[in-house]
Amino acid sequence: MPAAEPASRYPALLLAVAVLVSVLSISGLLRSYRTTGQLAASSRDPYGVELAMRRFAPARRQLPAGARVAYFTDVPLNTEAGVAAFLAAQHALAPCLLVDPSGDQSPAWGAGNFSRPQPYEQPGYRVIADLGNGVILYRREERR
Amino acid sequence: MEAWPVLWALAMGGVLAEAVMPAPAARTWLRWVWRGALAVPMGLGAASLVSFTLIWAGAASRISILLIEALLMTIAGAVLYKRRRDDDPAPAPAHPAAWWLWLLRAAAAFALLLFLVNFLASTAAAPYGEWDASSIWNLRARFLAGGDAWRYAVSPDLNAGLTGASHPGYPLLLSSFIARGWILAGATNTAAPAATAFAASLAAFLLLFAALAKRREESLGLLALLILAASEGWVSQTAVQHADVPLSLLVLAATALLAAALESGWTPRLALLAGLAGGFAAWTKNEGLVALLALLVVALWRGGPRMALWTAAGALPGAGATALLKLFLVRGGASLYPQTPAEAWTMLTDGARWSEVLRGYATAAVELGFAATHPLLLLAAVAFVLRPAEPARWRAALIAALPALALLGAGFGALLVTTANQQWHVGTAVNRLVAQVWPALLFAAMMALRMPGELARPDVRARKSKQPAPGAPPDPVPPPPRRPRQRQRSG
Repeated sequence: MPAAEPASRYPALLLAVAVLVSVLSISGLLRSYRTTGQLAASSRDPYGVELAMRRFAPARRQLPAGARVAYFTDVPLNTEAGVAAFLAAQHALAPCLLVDPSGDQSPAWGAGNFSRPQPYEQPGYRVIADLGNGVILYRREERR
Repeated sequence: MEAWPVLWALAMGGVLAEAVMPAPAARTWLRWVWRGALAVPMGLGAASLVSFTLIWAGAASRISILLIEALLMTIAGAVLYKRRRDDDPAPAPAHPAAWWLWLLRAAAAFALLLFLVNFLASTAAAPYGEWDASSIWNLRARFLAGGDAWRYAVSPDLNAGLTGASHPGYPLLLSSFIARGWILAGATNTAAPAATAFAASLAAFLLLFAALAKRREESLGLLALLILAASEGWVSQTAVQHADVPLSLLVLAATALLAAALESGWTPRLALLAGLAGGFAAWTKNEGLVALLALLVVALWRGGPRMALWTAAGALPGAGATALLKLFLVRGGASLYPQTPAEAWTMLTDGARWSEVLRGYATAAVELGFAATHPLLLLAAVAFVLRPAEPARWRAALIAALPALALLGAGFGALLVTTANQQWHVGTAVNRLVAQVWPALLFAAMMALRMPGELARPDVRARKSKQPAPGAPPDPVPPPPRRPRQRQRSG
């Protein structure tokens, strides 16, 4: 059995700092936990993704997986609210890809994301289903 | 059990890391913590690369992924069985254990418990993660797991090309790892991204602790763990499901392995493993490319051409996948940087832009923690007591920190010349840049300090009486003498 080394003495300041770091670290984590709780209480689903998952669930079932889908909305994409609504809808409808129909793209399918009831017709597309909660499903009109 | 694919990946990472790692340090439990923590970055990187390769080849399925991963594990297991553990570069330094170590151990265990509770509360409040998680990382994972739709993850039409939201050129470690979890589970659940985020965060705590405990003293590792736990700026990023915490883990792993090589001598295994971590960092975020380049430069400078080649060989899987992604898959996408040197020069000579970035970094440093429990204050208190180590040690620590410092510096430069609204870009990027490097910088800072054991003096009273003081813990027992190496076992 090896001989035990003599006991060591450490500077009191070192002990004090070890206690300080332990206490303050735990105190910081407790404050972090309180902040998390406050944020969770004040802003559940801050980006509307959970809501979008529920709203777009029927559309997701009807769209072919991986389809390109024209995105129609009454909230312009050059506003913060419009971007947030678009991104939440895109997350909910993936792996379908939402595209801006104002460009040269006119996919066979379209999805509407509207903030209030209104006439939902869009040029070049016909409404095939009003899925409720402002979600509309479109199909491109075939040119004759 | 929805998170079983993550656990399977970590098992694969553990076997891979064990096969590449040099022989273990003396203390068995510490060895398990160190290697268990290293299993996470290796598992994230390797599993992500396997799944992305299969997705690209159009062959990704539950069966194919499990088969390839099982094959990798078998090969690594065979290597483990055959090789001898005779190149241990880092025997644990033998210092008597401090009696207050138990206080630090209890505090660290409680801190990890609080972290877990905090993580669960954050995840319950935002199960789909924060903004970039649902609009970038997890969204691209949904495409990657979506069969033929995987190419949307790298399409310029991603998120309708919106500036700040469409990033088809971002590397894919996190997204393909999450996609792999969904393919294996057969459903796009919220468990895979959350479990990935938790594994990366916990591994960062444990790697920081174990790397310091292994190279220095357990008490130093525990102090570092507690300081990281007090870092609200980093802790608040752990549950958001972005790529910054996984990147911080990989940069920390590369830094710790680099420190081991700098202090204990370069070996091909250490260089290879550091290179793997650096390559996986490049496969996680563009910022990781900068850290990898700095790692290669340091390997060449301090280890010589042979070690630089071993590091580059380790980096090849991650860096190669990143290069293939950027060269052959990504087309177009919005650029946030100047297209001509003249445009860049105009920005670089604008004092207001420097001021904006400096203000951003100062704010991020302040926001790294709460006022009274700020990690920089805690680090300063520890440094005040311990004081800098001898020059050779703090120089090695500084050199080991170069990849993290290079990342921070490159981020600074990028924000100087951003073509996006600079105030917005600084406001959204700097906190993340700091979070990406903070564990590695904390590690380096602690490495540059003396160890508590170096401040200890023999207790004369105890020697005189030869009796322990009432309530005092028993004297530490030195480690047993090392026996001749036996044939290597994996355990």
